[in-house]
Order: sequence, then structure tokens, then C-alpha cells
Amino acid sequence: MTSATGPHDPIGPPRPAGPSSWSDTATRPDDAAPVEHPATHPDDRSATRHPEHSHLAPPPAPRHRRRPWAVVVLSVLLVLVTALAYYLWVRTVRYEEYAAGIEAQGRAIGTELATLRTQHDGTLAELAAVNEQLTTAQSRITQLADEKAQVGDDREVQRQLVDYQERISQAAANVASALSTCIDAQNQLITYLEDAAAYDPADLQRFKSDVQGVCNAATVANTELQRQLAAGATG
Amino acid sequence: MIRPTARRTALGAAAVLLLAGCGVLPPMPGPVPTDLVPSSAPVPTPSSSGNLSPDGFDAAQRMAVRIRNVGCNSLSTGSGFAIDETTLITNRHVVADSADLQLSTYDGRDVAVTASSTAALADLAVVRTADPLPSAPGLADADPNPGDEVTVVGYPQGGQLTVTSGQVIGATTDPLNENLGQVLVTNAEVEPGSSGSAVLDAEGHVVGVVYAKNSTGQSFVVPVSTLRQLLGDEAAFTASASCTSG
Repeated sequence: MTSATGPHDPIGPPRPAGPSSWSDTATRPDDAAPVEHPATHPDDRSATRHPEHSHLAPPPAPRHRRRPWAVVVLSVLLVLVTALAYYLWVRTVRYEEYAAGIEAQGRAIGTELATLRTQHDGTLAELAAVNEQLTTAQSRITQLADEKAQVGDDREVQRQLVDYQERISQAAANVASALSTCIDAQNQLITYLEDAAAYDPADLQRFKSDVQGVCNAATVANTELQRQLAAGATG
Repeated sequence: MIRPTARRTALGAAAVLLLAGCGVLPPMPGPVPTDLVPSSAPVPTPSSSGNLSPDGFDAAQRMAVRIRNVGCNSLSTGSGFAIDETTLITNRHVVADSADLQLSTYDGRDVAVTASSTAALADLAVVRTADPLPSAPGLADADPNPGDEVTVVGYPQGGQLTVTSGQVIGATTDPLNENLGQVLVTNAEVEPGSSGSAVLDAEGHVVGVVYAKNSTGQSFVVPVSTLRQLLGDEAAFTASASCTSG
């Protein structure tokens, strides 16, 4: 910005050393103050009549009277700013220590978190495997329960079949026994009838009735056997 | 021109602002915490209970019971479900004409029967057990509406424990004339042996009891309202007759 020459250039072009081309009627407002009010002393008339000598006049006396006060104030401000700077420096150091401590703990927690995440992933994988095993086990339990139930059904069917076979066998045995008795009686009756004159006719007739009863019992037993056979195991 | 008083005031104000600026600074940091991990962490709430049970089977499977009706010269099977620790519900025709009733649970355990009773006004029966049943669902408060999703849990054909699903089609009069009032019709697939199976709604509550099917694959269900009505009437159930006593 060294080439700036505009109207707001804080430096501006070099000006001549002489009484100058500046006039009392300069139009720059920022330059007008010292020209329009070259001095604050009310008796200094030459300042207004000869502005070309105003910058050569000695400094006004009131400025010397204000300096001690300003120095005191500035000193106080300097002390305050210095104290503030020290305070901020201490704060910065403290916060650095605090941040370092927090970061150290954060890194430790992060390391622990990474470990836990690894363990968590492993646990999830194990959980998936366990779930699969559980599903398999459940299917197997259901299958075994069904197999047991089917075995129970078969057991009951077999038991009923055995009962049936026992009933059939008993009925068949009854038929066979009755038939044997019938046959024996009929053979005896035939023997008696071959020599009928040797026996009392009334006794022969009674014996014949007995034989018929025995044979009727065999017929009844056979009928029961046929009924059991027709009914079957579930009848 | 600025007067000295004004300058003093300005400087004083600057000093006050400086001190006030120091006042708004955050305080000094405290000591570094010894442990950043909280002592008590919030416990996450599981989004779903899942199949939480001692063996992973859900409640619908655990409540199902297989019934073997050993008759004097016959054998048949049916299904049932527990309504409390020692009581189960099934169909009347499942326990009819029995010389012995044998129960087994979803995991194959045998459960002894102490008594059974049947209802005259519906195809329902109550069986009491000596051993505790694994699980008992709750009864729904009301009958399901047409279109509601239902699940049937039972032992079709006397085979493995099976879960089927379907929808409620509507209500109709009992085609078998075994139940007083209307029964529900669903398209859930059932088979002989499914009689007495529980019909569950989406929440797992019992909304009916399967008792029949037709040739088109529709299943007929005694509604839970009928079941509730009969369970509330002690005289509704009478001891079932055994085939050995006739």
C-alpha cells in the first residue's frame, strides 16, 4: 500500500517544506482541526492570523498539566493488563494440564472400549452360534418328543393287539375244549348205542341230551370266537 | 475537544470494562477427574422379549399338550392347552370313551391325569393333571374379529408339535350341531389330531379352541367367549364317562 495516494491515504504525498500550500480553507476534515483551531489559548491571536507559524509555537501549557494523570491511569491499566495476562497464562497452563489428563483417560477408555468392542463382536458371534445350536436343539427336542409319543402310541396299539390275541386265543381254546368234550361225549354215545339193549333207554336218552348240551356249548364258543375275529383288534 | 473529566470517565470506564471482562472468564479448571466412567450406567431396555424361556421354546409351544385317548378297543390322539398349572382345555370328543388319558408336553414329558369333565353345550372338556404344566397363556377378553391374524398350536395327525397361522373368516352356526351359539371360521390349516388346539391372537392370548374342519380346508373354532362362559359355570362340566364303566 505504499503507492496509496488517495484522499484517505493516512500518510499522503510528501508535502513541501515551506510555509506550505496548505491554507486555512483546507477541505479535508481530518486535517482541518489543527488549522481551524491551531491553539486552545484564547489570547493567542497570531495563531489565527498567521497559521503558517502555528506549528512552530510552543506546546500549550494544559498538555503538561494532564500528563501525570494520564501516566497514572495508563500505569494502572498496564498493571491490570499485566495481571490479566498472568492470570490468562496460568489459566492456559492449568487447562493444558487438565486437557492432558482428560486425554490420557480418554485414550485409556478408548483402548478399553476397543477391547470391549472386540469382545462384544466375539460374544455376538458366539451368541449367533448358540442361537443356531438352540434352534437345532429345539428341533431335536420336538422330534424326540414326537418319537416318544409315536412309541407310546405304538405301545398302546401293541398292548391292545396283545389283549386281542389273548382274547382270541382264549376263545379258540374254549372252542377247542368244548369241541373235544363234545367229540368225546359223542363217541361215548356211539358206544352206548352200539349195545343199546344193555342199557336203560331212559338213561341213554338223558346221556344223549347231555352230549347235545356239550356240543351246543362248543357251538357257542365257536360263535364267540367268530365274533372276536370279526371285531378285530379295535372292535 | 474532550474535557479532562470526560477522559477520566472514559479511562475509568475502560478499567471497569477490563475488570468486568475478567469477571466473565470461565473459572479455573478443577482437578482432573480420577475416573471418567460413571459408576452407574443406564440399563438399555430390550426392544423385544424374544423367546425368553428356560429352554428357548415360546409360550405358545410350552402350553400345548398332546392327548392320547386309549379306549377299550381304540386309540386316538388330540391336542389341548393349559389354562393354569394343573388344568388344560381340549375338546369333548378328544376325551370321550376313554379307558385312559395320557398327556405329554412339548418336550416329551408325560403328565398324569387326575380327572376329566366335559361340557354338554359345547365341544369342550377340562382335564385336571397331577403334575404341573409348563406354561399357561391368558384368555383373551373378547372374540377375534374377521380378518384378525390367528395362530394354531397343536399336534395334527398326532405328529410333531406344529404352529400354523391364518385369519378369521367370520362366524357361523355349528355345522356339527355340537355347540350352542355361533362358532368361528378360520383358514388356518388343521388336521385330525388338531382338535383341542389353542387358537391364539397376535398377543398370544387364547381366542378359541379348534374342534372341526371341512373339506375346503376351513377350520371351526369354539370362541373364547363360549369358553369363558362355560368356565364360569361350575355346572357346565360333568365328569366324562369311561368306556370301561359302560
